[in-house]
Amino acid sequence: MSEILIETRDLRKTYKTKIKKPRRKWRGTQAEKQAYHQAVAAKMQKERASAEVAAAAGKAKSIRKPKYTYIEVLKGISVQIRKGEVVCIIGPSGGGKSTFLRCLNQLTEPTSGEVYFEGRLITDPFKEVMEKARLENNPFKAFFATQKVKGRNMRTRRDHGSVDINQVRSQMGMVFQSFNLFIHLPAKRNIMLALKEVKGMSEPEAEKRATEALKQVGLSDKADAYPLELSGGQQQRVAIARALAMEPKLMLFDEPTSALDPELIGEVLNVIKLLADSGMTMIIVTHEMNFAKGVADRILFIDQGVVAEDGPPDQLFNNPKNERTRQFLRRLSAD
Amino acid sequence: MLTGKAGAVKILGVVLVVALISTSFIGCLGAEKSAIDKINDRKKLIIGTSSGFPPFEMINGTTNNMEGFDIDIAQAVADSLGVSLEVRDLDFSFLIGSVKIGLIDMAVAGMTITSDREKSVSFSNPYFKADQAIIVLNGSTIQTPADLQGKKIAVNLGTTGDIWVTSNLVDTGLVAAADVHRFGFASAAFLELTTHHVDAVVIDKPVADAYVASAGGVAKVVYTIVTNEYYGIAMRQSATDLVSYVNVVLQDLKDSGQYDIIVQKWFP
Amino acid sequence: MADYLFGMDISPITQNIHLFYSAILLTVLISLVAIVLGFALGMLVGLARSSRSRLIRYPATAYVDVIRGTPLLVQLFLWYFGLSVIGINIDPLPAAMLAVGFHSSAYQAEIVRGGIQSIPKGQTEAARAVGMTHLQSMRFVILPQALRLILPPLSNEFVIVIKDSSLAYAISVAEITLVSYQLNARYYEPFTVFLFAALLYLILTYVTSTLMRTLERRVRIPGYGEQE
Repeated sequence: MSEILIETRDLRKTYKTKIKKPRRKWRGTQAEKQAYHQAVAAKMQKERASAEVAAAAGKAKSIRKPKYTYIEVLKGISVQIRKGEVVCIIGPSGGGKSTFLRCLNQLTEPTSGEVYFEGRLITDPFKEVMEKARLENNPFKAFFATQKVKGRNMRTRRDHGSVDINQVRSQMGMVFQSFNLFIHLPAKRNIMLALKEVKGMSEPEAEKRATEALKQVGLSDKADAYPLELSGGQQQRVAIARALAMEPKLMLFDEPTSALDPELIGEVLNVIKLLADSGMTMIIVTHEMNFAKGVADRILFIDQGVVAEDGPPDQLFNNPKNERTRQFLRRLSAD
Repeated sequence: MLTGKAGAVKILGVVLVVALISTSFIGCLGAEKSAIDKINDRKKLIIGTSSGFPPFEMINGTTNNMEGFDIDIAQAVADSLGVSLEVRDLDFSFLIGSVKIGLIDMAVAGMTITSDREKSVSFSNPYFKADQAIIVLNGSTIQTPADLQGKKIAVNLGTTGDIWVTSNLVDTGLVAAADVHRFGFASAAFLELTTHHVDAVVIDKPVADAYVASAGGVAKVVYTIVTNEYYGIAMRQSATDLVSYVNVVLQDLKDSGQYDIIVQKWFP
Repeated sequence: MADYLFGMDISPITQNIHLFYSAILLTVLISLVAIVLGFALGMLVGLARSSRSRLIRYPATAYVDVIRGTPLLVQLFLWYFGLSVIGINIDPLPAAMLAVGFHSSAYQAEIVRGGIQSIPKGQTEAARAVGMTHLQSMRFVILPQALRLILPPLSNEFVIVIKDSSLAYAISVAEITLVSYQLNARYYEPFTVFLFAALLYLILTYVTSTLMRTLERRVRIPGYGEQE
């Protein structure tokens, strides 16, 4: 059995948000949005209930809209992923899939819990304390508490050697639902940018590697095309090439085909399949069940912040152990 | 023909031209009434002046009203007509233009009668005589106009002081054009002196004396440039009735001794 | 001997056209310096305004609010007369350049901030995910896009600076407006002289906007703005 490449221990993520009118453009994952609305509703209910109790007792209690609410998006996820494994994460919208994936490369910082990459801790050892400090209700206390933690953090890092999250990220490739190509650079340059600036390669080296990567995804002829001139499927493939060119040890895919027109999904899935066959360790959050069945070694079903089920595809799809998994699959096959 | 974008532009063009032409006729409509009739209808005499020119026109620190020698003269005219007086404080260089257009009935602002100005407005008979003067700060070594060579000077834009400096110092090369700082209000010119931006101010002598007296000893008048200027009240050339009327008022002031009283009030 | 144009006597202009040469030069000079100063400062303050650190953001916000909250004319007097009162003697021309420049920097800062904040978060995320530091992501991904994005509002601000330079007349800088003023004081033809001044400013602003439009076209991101 190959070694563990990345593992999480009791990963949790809690958001503290001000209760205000929800913005039209939501800047977060589905999980966050749903959890927000649920938490607000719950808080309001509690307030009303306590007001009624007070009224019944003959006392008046004003219903104040609560100022802050806490939303637990991840409720403790511990998972180990081995080298060469292809893991697909499925689950209902808002269950925490994307949040979990983003915690792996620290794009979203967890509130508590640890992430180990190649055996080394990549989460901030004081993150939990820092988050707790930040979630303090009093802004002054919060500020001073965070400063104190920062100080301790810096000393620890200096004494025990720090983990440079940027270096770690350069060994993980991430592909986004909305591609996120650098629109001001042509395809080739999109790929060369990180090669030159993060890996320190020279211009000719970087160019060579970029061209290879483009060949791997079948877009050699689009090397000088700008992202906005390409179709969705082509953009996503360039995004994959951009991640690939860094020669990562791990690839993360956040719903790579969810934003694509149906006829373009195929070309992207083919590239992902090729990658999987070549032995890359991959974690894919997806809604394409058939694809997941075909490419995954293992499926994680994440719902309401926990891993509700974890198993090989035939077992999970045909013989789900958990009731919630069964419900989810039933809803899928219904449409 | 008149459709679409090109058509819209054509229509707009015609409308603009018609508007422009018609506005040029507006001036003609008011030409019937005489100036004095208009003032009486309005029940107000509107004069323009430029403050910061002591003791002819300045703003009273406590009441915030305009006061001075010129104001008293203007008040006499208004009283004689039996109307109220409205004083508008303007940039000096805008006064004649305003009179020409008819925005104000007259400009009373220590304004010297010059042949140039008489091309644009009519002046009353002279009501004051003045010369120009050079003001410097107390420590300065400047004594005569010749000492002004290479120095920086501030003037009130458009006044005879400005004209004198331009023709006698700039045009002769004694002072660089860029070294003459011109301001629409005399007070700004004085400020230039006290903030050390310029070495001297050239302005009408009575004003120079009044300013130095009020400046608490930081400045002094070092030279009187004899120009034999006469102040007059500027009015529209078409307002011939007003000009005659004002001359009568001025003469009355002199004959009745009222003029001397006003002089004593502002030049004790 | 007067010259006429459309029935207007334009001899005040034609006989003194030489005065306008240096005046135009001064207007251009003030505007250029103010634009460059405004941009340099505006970038700094704009970046500060977008910072996550409140320690950096709050002073920048105060700077922008104070400068945008006071009239340029008043600021001009403060630079010219105000500094002298505290002992720093400054000439009219540099005072005008500084006043207009600092004034513009506050507006340019907001323009820069708007540009940076309108870049979709995904761009930063992709840059960080591939291993770039915050500085690298700003330098190679965010700023190149933001600077292109803000060219239209920036061009508008540059036009405003050219027009604002006219206020320098109040502290006796012999630029276009003051020269027109002086001609009016000599010939008492306000309409003619100020119409001519307006024409000069129009030429300057038109040239500027055309130049900026060319720049916009040159650096345009291919495919941008053509989404259905």
